[in-house]
Amino acid sequence: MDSLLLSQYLIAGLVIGIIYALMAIGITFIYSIMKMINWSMGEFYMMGSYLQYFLVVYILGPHLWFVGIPISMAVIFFVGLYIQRFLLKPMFVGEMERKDEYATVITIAMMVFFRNLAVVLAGPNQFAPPDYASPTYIGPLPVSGNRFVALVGTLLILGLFYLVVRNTWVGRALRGSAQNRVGIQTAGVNVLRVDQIAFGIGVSLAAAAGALLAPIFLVWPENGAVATMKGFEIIVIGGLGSIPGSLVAGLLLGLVESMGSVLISPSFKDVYGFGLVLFLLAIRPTGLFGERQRVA
Amino acid sequence: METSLADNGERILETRDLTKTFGGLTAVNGLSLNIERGEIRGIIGPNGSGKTTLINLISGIYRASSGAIYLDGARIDRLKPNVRTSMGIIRTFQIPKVFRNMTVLENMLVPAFSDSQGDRYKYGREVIQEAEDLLRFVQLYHMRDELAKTLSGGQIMLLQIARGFIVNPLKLYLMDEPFAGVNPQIKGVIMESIKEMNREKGVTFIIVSHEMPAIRRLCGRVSVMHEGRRIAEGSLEEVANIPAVIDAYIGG
Repeated sequence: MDSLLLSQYLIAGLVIGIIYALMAIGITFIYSIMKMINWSMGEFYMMGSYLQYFLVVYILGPHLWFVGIPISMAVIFFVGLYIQRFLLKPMFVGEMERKDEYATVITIAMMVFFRNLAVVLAGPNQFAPPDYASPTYIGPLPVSGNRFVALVGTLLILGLFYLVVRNTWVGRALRGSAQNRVGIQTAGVNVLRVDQIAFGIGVSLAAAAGALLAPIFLVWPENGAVATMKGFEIIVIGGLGSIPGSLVAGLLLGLVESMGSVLISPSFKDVYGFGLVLFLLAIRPTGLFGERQRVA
Repeated sequence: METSLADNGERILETRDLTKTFGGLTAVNGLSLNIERGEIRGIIGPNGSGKTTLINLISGIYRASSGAIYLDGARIDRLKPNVRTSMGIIRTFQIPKVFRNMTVLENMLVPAFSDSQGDRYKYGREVIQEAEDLLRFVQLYHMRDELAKTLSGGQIMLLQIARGFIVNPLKLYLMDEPFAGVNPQIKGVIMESIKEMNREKGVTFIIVSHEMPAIRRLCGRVSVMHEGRRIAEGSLEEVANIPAVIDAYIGG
């Protein structure tokens, strides 16, 4: 085993890991504010990839792919706002108690609906958008142009996400809602409006992952399933509700998968991740950064 | 909106036959209470007498089973908590609801992001200035960049109280056990801030507390609750001599 090949897999693992983390951050962000799991996250990933494909192939042309990504994110953000408004908000109306099973039923129904909608609209085919960039080098190591673009794009989006959550008035309201839902309401903030924004941001992160990964993992109706699975694996590893946890766990999962592929066999790529999940569940069930839930 | 018949402009809050039941338990039972504008009203009573439930009903955390609540003559008992806050009803909790992973200053700024308050966050610098002034007022300014979770229990209570003062308009401030588990120095700061906000800004206060010395110093009138009902009202000295009150406290 030569060290060049090994470091190439290392880089590939880190790149894919950080993009997986984007999915996981979307899931954990929505959970930490709305206290519900969005099981249809992969379908927002899927819609993001379709939108990007459609924009690049039919409207913008192959050279303007980087314009397509923010457009896809913005469209899915608004789709998320309206889905939250009409399908999820009813579960919070009335008393302060929530119907938790409602969110599960609705988001699983959305998963089935959007997958089939994609089949109806575009057929069960795979589409491949043109490459975003030609192969390039990180230092002495060759790396696929598409993966390099996905890495840079993800880092930019995560940086923007961090700035918004950290430094803006909306961000403060988002963090406040995550930390204390009753407190934020008695401070005069409309928590349902915050939920809506959180859901929009969360699903637009999934759409970003879909758009960035479109040339690598292609575009088809069920391409979100893998992304969702990886997202949840990361959440188990990193701890539900922890954004730094998602980032670290994403990198870890990417590394374990690519190291397993190169050192053992690439045929069992998905197994290595599950092994890591099982290992973590055994030694630290709350995840690396998860906090034990306090029940008041 | 339905209005109260007896509104003469001096009454800021009225509850009429207010009732809240939890299953078979009646926590607040046909309670009618009038609070005058600008007063500092104490609510006392044994544990389990429905004081906190009353605060939860007025602030909108619970929805009343029956009866009505009026603020300045307008009926509010069907409104969401954040809407009531934007109408000028602020509250604190016995277990403070602060944002533990935000700095003290950020905690103060959260209420500014409220669409019903004229989007005050658009005047960012002024709001920050105001928040800093309020932190000086409650002697927390030196902690402004610390995370709230690093504060002591008393300081967290102070922060929770100060955060309410930034809401504008501020008409009625409900405090649930503001002196519980607070050292004497901070207790003094809380009492001073209540008196000053009452005097300078005309804020009306309803204070639920077991601390009789503090109630005596702050409150002109006291309402005594027992088993969800109001059993007496008057100055602390007056109610302390009413047999029903003595019975309630010694479990007679």
